Amino acid sequence: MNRIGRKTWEDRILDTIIYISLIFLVIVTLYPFLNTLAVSFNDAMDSSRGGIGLWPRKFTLYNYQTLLTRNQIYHAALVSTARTVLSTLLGTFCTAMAAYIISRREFVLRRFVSFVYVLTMYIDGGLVPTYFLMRSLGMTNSFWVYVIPGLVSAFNLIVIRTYIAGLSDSYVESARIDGAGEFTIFVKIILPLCKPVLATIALFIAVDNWNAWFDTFLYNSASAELSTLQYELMKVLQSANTMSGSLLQALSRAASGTTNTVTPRAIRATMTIIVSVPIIIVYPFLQRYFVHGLTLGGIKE
Amino acid sequence: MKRRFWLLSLLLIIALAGTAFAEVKTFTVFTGEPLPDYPGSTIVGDIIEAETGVKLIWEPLVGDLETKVGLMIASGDYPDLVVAAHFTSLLKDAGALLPLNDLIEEHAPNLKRLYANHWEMLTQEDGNVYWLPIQAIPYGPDTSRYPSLGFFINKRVLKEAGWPTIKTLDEYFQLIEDYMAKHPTIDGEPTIGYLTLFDGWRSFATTNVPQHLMGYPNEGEFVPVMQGNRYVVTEYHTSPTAKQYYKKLNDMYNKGVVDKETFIMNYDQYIEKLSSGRVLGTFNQFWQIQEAQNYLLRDNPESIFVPLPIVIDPLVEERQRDIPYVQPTQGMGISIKCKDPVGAIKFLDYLIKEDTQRLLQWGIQGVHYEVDENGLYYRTPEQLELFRDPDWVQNVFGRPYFFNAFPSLRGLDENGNMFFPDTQPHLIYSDSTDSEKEVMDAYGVKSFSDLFNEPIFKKYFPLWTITMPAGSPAHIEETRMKDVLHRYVPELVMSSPDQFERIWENYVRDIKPLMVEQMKVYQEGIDWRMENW
Amino acid sequence: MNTSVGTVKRGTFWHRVKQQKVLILMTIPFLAHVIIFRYVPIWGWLMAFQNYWPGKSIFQQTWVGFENFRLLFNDPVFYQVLRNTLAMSIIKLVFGTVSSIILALMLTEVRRIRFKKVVQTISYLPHFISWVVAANLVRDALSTDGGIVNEVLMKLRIIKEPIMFLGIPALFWWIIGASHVWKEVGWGAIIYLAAIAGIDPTLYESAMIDGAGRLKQIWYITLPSIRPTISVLLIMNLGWVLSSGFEQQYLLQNGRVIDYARVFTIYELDYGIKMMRYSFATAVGIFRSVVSIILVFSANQLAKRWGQERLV
Repeated sequence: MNRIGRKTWEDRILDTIIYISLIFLVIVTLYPFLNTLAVSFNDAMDSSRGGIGLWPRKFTLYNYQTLLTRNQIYHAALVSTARTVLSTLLGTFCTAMAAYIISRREFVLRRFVSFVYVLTMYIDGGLVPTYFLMRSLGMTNSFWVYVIPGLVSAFNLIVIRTYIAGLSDSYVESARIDGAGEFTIFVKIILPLCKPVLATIALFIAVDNWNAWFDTFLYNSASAELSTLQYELMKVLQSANTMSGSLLQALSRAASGTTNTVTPRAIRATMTIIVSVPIIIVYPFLQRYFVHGLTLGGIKE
Repeated sequence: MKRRFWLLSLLLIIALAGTAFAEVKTFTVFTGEPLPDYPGSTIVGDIIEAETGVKLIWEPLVGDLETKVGLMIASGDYPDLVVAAHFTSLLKDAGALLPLNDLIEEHAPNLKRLYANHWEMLTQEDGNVYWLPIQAIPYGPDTSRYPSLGFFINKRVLKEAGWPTIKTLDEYFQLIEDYMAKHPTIDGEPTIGYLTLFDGWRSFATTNVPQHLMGYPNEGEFVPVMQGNRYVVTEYHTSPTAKQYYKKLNDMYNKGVVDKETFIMNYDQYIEKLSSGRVLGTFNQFWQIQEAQNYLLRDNPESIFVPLPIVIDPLVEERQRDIPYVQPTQGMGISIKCKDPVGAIKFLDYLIKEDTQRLLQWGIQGVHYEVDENGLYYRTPEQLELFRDPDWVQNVFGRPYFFNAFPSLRGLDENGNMFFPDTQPHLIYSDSTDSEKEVMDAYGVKSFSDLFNEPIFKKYFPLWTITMPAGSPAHIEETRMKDVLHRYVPELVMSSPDQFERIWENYVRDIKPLMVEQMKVYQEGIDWRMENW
Repeated sequence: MNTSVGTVKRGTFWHRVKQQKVLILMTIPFLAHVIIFRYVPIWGWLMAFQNYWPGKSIFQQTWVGFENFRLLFNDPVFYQVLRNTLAMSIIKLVFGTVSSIILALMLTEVRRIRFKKVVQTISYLPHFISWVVAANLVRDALSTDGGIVNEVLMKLRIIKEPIMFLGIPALFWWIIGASHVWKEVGWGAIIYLAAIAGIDPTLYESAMIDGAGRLKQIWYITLPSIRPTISVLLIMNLGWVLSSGFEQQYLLQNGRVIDYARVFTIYELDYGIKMMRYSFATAVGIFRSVVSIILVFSANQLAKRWGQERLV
């Protein structure tokens, strides 16, 4: 799109304000991440003294070693990747399809279905009933508990529906006149038009799945082969507490410069980095769909 | 030839292992603590497996215990062996635990002998024993380098004042004030006179202090006071001692001795400040400041913290050290889902044997510890180094997997050795750091615990192991009382001195009614213990 | 936008059902899924009317009627919690939404693609930092003991003495709001960026031909185009005002501000789950749900009256 013309004074002021604000934003939002990065590479005991800024004071790889040399960590990362990919693909597709259905103004069940979904955002039966449900469906100790229950989330559904509602109806109409079936319309017309919102929803689903550990805890804690990365990391984090607790007495016995130890703080920082790096790597691939600016120029009325 | 021999013996080992494998029993264990996955093979683990033919499968705790236990009970999927910390009795109520009386009587001679003195402690209302306390059983006297709690003071302060012996709160703060006046900064940063921890549940480090100033060890929120020949549960939160204590803190706060931020900082910030070496004093239980102390011992040994027995008045008799006790309200049980309860109790009986305990705590003689000419155990510097590496102890040696949540022994054995190596009396001093030794020498003691009086035995000890019935009025009252403490204590300390009386009156007015039900429950518990233990 | 084509309004209801049988068939699996996974477990709500004790089945429990609700409404702490939760949620909702929209608009106005991408990527990073880590950073920044905020304010001679920000009850809600904005502004902007990306570019072209400046374009084209998204997100979020917050408040609170920091989720934990008062906790949950539903559907009606995009 082409909005580059001569710069007016309005443009200049606007640009100045925007650039200054954004640079300020970058500073305040980058700092926590860099600080976490520094702590993750800093000697754990030294970190408890505080005052780590942007650079480690006592460099060590021990925190990463502690987290990454667990038996199951790579297998768990694989499971996490599998559930993330599968949930993202299936979830985005199904949510989009449901959204398309309820975005059709003439659809008789439109309000009813919307209502049924919207309500789910505000009601929750609780942990135990949900656990019983999963168990009676045979979804405990099963990979599918990661994918199936959360296939369509009401929030995402509404977001996509709102987006579709903003599109012109004429595409659907003309396709229908051409004799296209509902499914064809959805796949051939709606999906390509929805790229920005689908990229967003895909990101939401992916991040949720990648970060999830509670479902592993609830349903799959008895099956080691279904463990997820976050769950394994949570284990290390929680054991860091007991570990430093039960062995502190031994430590205080004598001051030893070689003592390797981890603290919950160091583990947390390291976990944050390990978990967010894949997201940061994958992000640009999704980003181009909604940051390129107004890329949807191809749509013609 | 030689190679063939090796090959043969290897085959033999494999064959043996194979037959042993066929008989391996497995038990699932939930220890209620977040242990990382078992490394597959550890030094003690392999020995235990070879001797008992039992393989344990650990279910770690990830997430919170409430949820985990709630789900366990709801679903009825129990592991064979289970420890659920303060939810243990809930498991019993849900019918999840097997009575152990007959099992122990018939199959567990060691357990029977060791728990004989505590049997009535463990017996529930229905006359059965359902769990074995996981804490070590006190077995002779207990020693340690640090007492469990105290008013800690920066070594610099003591050193500069010429190692004074101080007793009262006033003297303690005087010492700090004097040092602060002379050294307004340490290492270029402002000196912090006194810190008190007030972060969430950890704030007992501030609010429990009056009982210690009255000379008591850690009893919890109330203290049983001997009146006639009965322990009467007494509250101390509104006592004259409490008032004097908060008044002192208020005074010190307004003089700038107590850190301005002390009531708004969290635990991490507390540890940061302590580790900076510029904090002169703090009260706490030792384990709460240990992370900082470790750091100081390694990187700033002149600023380590020394625990002092401080009371409110020189006439008060100080007995702040913990009496060795059994925590009777929680422990390891065998669940109804266990297919081989006899095998399980035999395994627990094996674990509590003295030899097994020695193996778990000291290791293998000649490899992990040595015996001197007097028959006393010690470790060479190389061996010590190994046991100082938590990673090694856990993943190579394997102790936590068979020790942390299982019944275990503590105290002296027949040969005069401590089961728990860190409490071996003749090593406490010799294994101390130079900086620690300097202080001990100055006061003529062999451990910091020796700065405190010997504890007095009390049968019921401690009060806090009496648990409130979940969700009962007393339980709700307890939460509300803590809310009142949270609200008022910062105000009491941070207000201007002329406001103190008014706030104190409001505080007493609000907190008094929130103690009635709790005191009833505790009194009942104490009376019962005195009668039945 | 929203070019509603009213061609299908004719015919009876059954006629339309017949006509739309494919759509209806497509709906069935979705309905089945949502009913099984989200509605079946609602039987757990029965617990609120019992004195639930783990270990017995739901039918063996003692029924207590509305006792748990009575306890809840008679607890003075409840009203304090209600006030705090509402106040903080609304602050977060308003400032969170506004800041995210402004960021999205700013990013769209940036023409250097590289810069735009980098800023956008960095701005969402704090989202991945858990509150446990973030709270410590907030605490450090606001500390009176060398915290950056106090240092800067003192350098600028705005204040003479360091201010104990976290110890001032009146400020706590705003600190919660501000730290929320800091942590979530970038993440929140993504959804608006997507909405902006979907605007038909020809709209801008014709606006430019009419001589509209950039501010005018934002005002007359961008904002109206993303209004349905804003409206729908606001309505949805309104339903969460009683559920929002936990870790953030929990980790930033302290003895000084406890009366302003406790929110429903903390209350449920302290006075419910931790004491094994599962029934009481469920009752609190039901109360929150009922209020949420009332709020959402009232907002929905309002949106309808004002001609905005609705949820249902």
